[in-house]
Amino acid sequence: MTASGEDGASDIEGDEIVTQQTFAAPTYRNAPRWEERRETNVSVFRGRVSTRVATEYIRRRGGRRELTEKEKSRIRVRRLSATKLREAGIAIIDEPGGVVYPEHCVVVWPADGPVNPLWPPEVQAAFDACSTGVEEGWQEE
Amino acid sequence: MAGGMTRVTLEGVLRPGQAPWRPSPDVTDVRVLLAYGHPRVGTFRIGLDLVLFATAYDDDDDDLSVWAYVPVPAELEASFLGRRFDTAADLSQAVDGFFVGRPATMALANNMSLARWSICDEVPAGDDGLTKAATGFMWSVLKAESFDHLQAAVKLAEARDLVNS
Repeated sequence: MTASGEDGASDIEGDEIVTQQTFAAPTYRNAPRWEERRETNVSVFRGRVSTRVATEYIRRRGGRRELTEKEKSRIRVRRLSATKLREAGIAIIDEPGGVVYPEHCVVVWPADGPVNPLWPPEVQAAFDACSTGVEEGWQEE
Repeated sequence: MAGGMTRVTLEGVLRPGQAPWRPSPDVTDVRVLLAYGHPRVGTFRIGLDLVLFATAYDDDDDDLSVWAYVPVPAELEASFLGRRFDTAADLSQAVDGFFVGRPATMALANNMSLARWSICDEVPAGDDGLTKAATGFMWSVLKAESFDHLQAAVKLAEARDLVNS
């Protein structure tokens, strides 16, 4: 498997923004969870997606319990620069699956070659540094 | 029975240690409808039969997850193949609704490795039907685990008696 071209997926081009959600602010995931969950990539959403929409996508199950106030206080999204990611040798692949919005993408490393889920510390740091510094917390409707 | 596949066939397809979204080496044409970190909803084929899979319980903080599988009759494949939903909620509603009233295979995964599974005769009605099915399945797993532990304790006690006698 290589970073681009799988199943017709394309890299996100231009100076786009992608959104990353966390349930554990101020910490965000900076690498795939390969050993714990067999994940080969880090999921993000294309564009500026709200905290609520991103979280509802991730939680999926409609019948699940309501979030507690404490949980909501730790949910946040941050914006990442696609340009910075590409410059760091990290690729963003459009993989929307069966959902139109929010548009799901995966971040994989390296951009040129077989995907490696085991990101070295310097790659994790480079990914973290792609944040634009803009964050958004939970907002009630 | 909803699909052309028999319950026994689907139950016999799953293999321990496999990823829930590719539960057997014999699985082909895995198509992911919803992913976040890993696939959470999608379809695959066993031979010509289409199977719909979905997480029934999956929490980022928990090593354990529960997955549900149901065969999709050939005449209903278009409900999921190539289909796009406006939102994740719309997709979940369609997927979870499809399970309702059908027999499903429920499976427990530990760190995304399949460990145990069994048949749920009929997924209960309601928006939380799959959650209820997952809860019932987990109770059966707990009972089985307790029984296994009890049996192990009895064997250990018997072995000690043998040693002591």
